[in-house]
Amino acid sequence: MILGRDENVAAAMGGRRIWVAGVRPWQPACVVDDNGHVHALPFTWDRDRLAEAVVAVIGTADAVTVDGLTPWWRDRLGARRISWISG
Amino acid sequence: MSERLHKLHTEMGERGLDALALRCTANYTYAGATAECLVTPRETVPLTADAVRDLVASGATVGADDLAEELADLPLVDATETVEAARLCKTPAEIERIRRAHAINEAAMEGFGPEPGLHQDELTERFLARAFALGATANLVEPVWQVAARDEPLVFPTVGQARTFGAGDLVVVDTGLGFDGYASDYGRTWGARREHFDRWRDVMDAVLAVVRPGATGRDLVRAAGTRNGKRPWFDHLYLAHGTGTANAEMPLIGTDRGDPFDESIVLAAGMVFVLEPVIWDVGSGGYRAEETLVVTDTGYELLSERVTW
Repeated sequence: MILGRDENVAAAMGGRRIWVAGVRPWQPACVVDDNGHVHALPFTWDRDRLAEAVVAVIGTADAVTVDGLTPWWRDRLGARRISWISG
Repeated sequence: MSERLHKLHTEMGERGLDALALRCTANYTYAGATAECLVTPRETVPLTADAVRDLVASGATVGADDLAEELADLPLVDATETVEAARLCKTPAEIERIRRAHAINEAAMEGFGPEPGLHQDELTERFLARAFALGATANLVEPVWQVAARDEPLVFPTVGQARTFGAGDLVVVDTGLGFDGYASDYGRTWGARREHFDRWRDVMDAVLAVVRPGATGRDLVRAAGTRNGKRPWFDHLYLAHGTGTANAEMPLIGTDRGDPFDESIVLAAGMVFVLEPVIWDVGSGGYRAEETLVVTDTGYELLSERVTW
């Protein structure tokens, strides 16, 4: 489960982000694996580096759940089946 | 503000986009809308999935900044760079709003300090009450009144400390107010040593000296140099960030994207950005403040007040 919406990230990580709320397109901040373990993603301005970090966690999974998406991130997730959570 | 829409249309044309589906607040606001919208060269209308589907079905190339679930299966292209390019250089009307936003922010901060016994939340309440009385139309950043430990690395920004100020506290301040859709950024450090301020001022002046059209982001990074082997700003943030249509936007200079990215940023008249160098010595603390400028035809003009001791 790849999370980027502030409220979901805050719920998963017990923290919150400032500076970006409401003005920037979606981008991942953490990944929750099948065991419920939360993987914090690196704070970086380089979305290629961020995408590598996401792939390092999700590996070859053929399906992912997201709480948001942009065309760039959809392309990066490739052929994986994407489902959405709301909120 | 039809000049903004014209710029958006121009950038769409250069990238072969027939339409833009905008969901991010700063983007649809830039297009002159008050909610998510669909921009075509002919009109700007409320964004609906059906309208986007119809355009795609007719063979149009549609860009999007952010996808809703109902749009995710459509072959939309990423429009982030298109919108960023339009927003990058500000019009004279935009610059005046940014200048006004900074004036309000500075006036709202006037006279405040880490008064012993004052709680951070009480200061937030006083600051915001004054800011809106002075004409601010939005609060864009949760105010930061970070009490910093002089003998530790500075972890910035830290909010939610829920502290009461004590005598001699070193407090790193950051606020961001909006005026009529445009952002300000205000940074100062209270309780700092003069020596740290002087070193911060030296970095700031060295960077300002190279700001002119044609200079690159890397020129600014070079001018800032290093202090004790370290670049004088927060590693996880930047030496400079654009501001105006959002509190932090392009150009971003001195980020972890490295020298090639900084080299690719060529300053042009109308670019507005905030410089935020930091001096920090573990053991004695340091100083951080911000100045906002617009690049002019011959150099720059400050849109915030010059930071003095």
